[in-house]
Amino acid sequence: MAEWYDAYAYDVLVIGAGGAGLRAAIAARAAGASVGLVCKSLLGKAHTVMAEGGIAAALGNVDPQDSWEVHFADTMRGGQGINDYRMVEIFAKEAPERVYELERWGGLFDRTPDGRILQRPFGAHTYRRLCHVGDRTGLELIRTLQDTVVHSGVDVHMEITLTRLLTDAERIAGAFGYRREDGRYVLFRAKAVVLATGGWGKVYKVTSNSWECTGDGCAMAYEAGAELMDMEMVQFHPTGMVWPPGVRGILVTEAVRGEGGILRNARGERFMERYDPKKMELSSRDVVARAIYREVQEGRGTPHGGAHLDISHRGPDFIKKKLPSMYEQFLKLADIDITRSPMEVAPTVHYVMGGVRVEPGTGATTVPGLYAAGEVAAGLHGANRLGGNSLSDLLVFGKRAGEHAARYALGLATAPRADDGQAAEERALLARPFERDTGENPYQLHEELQEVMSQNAGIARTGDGLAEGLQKVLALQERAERLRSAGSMLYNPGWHECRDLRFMLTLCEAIFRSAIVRTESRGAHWRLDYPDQDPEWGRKNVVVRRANGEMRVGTRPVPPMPAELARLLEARA
Amino acid sequence: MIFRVKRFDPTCDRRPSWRAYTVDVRPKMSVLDGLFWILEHADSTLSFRYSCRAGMCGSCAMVVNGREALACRLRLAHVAAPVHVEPLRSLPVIKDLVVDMTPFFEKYRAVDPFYRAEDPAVTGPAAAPAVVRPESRELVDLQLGCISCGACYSACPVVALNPEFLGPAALNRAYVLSADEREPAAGDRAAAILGDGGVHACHAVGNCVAACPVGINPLLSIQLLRKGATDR
Repeated sequence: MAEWYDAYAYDVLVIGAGGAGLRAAIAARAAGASVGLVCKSLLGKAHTVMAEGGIAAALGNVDPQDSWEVHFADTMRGGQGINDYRMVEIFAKEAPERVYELERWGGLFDRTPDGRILQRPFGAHTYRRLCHVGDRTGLELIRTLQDTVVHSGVDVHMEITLTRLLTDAERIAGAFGYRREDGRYVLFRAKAVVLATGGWGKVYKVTSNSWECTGDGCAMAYEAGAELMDMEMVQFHPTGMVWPPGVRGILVTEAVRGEGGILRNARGERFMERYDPKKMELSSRDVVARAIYREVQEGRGTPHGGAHLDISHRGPDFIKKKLPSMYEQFLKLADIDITRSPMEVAPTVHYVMGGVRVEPGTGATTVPGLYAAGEVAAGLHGANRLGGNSLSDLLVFGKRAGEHAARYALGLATAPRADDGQAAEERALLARPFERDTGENPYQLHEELQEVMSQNAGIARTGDGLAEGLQKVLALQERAERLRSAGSMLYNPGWHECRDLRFMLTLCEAIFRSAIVRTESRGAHWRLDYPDQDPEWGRKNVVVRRANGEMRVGTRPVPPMPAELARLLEARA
Repeated sequence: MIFRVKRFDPTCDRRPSWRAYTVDVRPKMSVLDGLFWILEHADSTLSFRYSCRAGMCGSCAMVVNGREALACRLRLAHVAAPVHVEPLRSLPVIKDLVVDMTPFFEKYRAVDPFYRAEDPAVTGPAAAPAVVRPESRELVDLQLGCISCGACYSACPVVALNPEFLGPAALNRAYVLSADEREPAAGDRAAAILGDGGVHACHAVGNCVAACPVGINPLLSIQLLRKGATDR
């Protein structure tokens, strides 16, 4: 009998083909596992290609004083102490080797005059630390990894959305979903699964994130029983485009400030003097984002509600060489020549620090056989991520997750096997939007969700607003039971949106529940009703887990740092 | 503003047909914004690819008023009404504006885009980081940054006539690798570059140069590869 789905089997299944997924696939393959790599877009379109500024790694090429210890201290301070110090230590130590490795695979970063890797300054990094390829570092990184993946014998499955993790009792057994092209169902049997599915910025209206960032992986992990952590920590990047409306939220790279860009309010004041006179424009993202927000709130915003960011004093040659994408972006999308005029910018949702809780060295989640790396995993960045730390995160922890997933898979005595009931159940859920003649429009619901998130879980939060937001999300979840899709299963974006929306609603519930619990302000989480840091909360991470079909919120102690690492922070404070 | 979109659903249509939509235009709207408007207000089954909205990912290449463009980067103020939107050429249509990119990717792979200078299986202590003088990179740097959108492939008249031709994007990649001073051997690449589908099949029409949304000049790469072959 012909199966009603296409089936594949691998030792390791990697979900997501951004930086973390590609790096994990290479590592798992090198460890001897058979590897399948699944992505929602075509290969090479993952959100990592949007990473512009660079990779943070303490090579010390430009500032020889730099070291892993300083990178460690900067990252811990940026995360305001609730990061997992064990992840940060591994990260700071291994990032340089991951950068050099990319060059051995054919990548090439911008050079110093004597031919070594050039490094640029970035927000809250003590030294010049970001290795970059102009302002399209992510694109070069992805291309390099991708060519390596294809060559190393990894099977790539493009334009497939996986919507459910399959389990055999407690253990992971694979994943199930559909082909975007024709709606045909696909089942992957796997001994281990690496989630590298990125973030969920699309739950907000104004975001730098691409369409893919709907948090499928994180929501699937939650549904499979994994624990989530730090979900209240959503990063607002200080500089997104504000005009024209169609491009609102698109990123203006921090490299503009790294290369000397100056922020001014509508009165022409360099307002960062009032918020962080020492680091100025290169303060950490949470601080700069709040500063712009405040300037606008207090009536000193630009015509479209932002601030001016000016790089024109560096001259056209420099700008076109170091920031070619920004130059093009403003010229093409906004009719603005940034070599002559300032850009108009405002905060935009950019990154989620929270996600699936993982074991620091391996990426193992609380579900046996399920690993996570990159933005979908929590712990490295704490309450605020530093610019440039994401790309090195992908490489360092992508590699580790791939290796450990392979080791786990190859060490299993018996292959796990999921019963067909799980796939059948998921198929029924996926098919539901076609079974009714009237119902909710998924785009309408998504827009309403984005409105709630922006209003109630935005840059400035209050207990009342959060409580109201949670109720609204729960109401939207009810309505999402009645989603309807027209047309067929053939490349049908409206139908795809239906399942994505359920994932997003789950994660938004987690964001609200976590944000309500953390009654203090720390990093990206700014509570107007609790404006100060509370040392008690500095020792706790908020965690979320499903129990008996309900979302349960709790806390876990932040792992205490050993004395020799704690001293690194004091030394540089 | 009137949008005419070439629609095709292989499950029920025998051939593609144009369908018209009146799009509510707001300031500085792009072609992609217009397609979103149709999706959200007129027909939720319209299929097209997109991802980043910022011209970085290369998902939304299509043919607008007869020319290849990234829909997210092309603003309605710069196109004549009615706007005719159709899928990329020389690639099979899956549905509406979505094409099957397999031939494009297969040809990219045919030039053996894998960098050989170092075996990735070796993950031991790092070899000494390469010293590469910035001045040696000036031309290569201009040809980097391909977003594999397929616009050049669609615009190339040789691709349309000669299915063997690898096309501008793949050959540009081959040039970038061959021009990398760190890369020792051309490997299998030379056979593909100089074979029937390689640089000698190019007629130097130059549509690829005009079509590239990120300013790469694939024709120049092809010519440099040819010159290199002659020199050798």
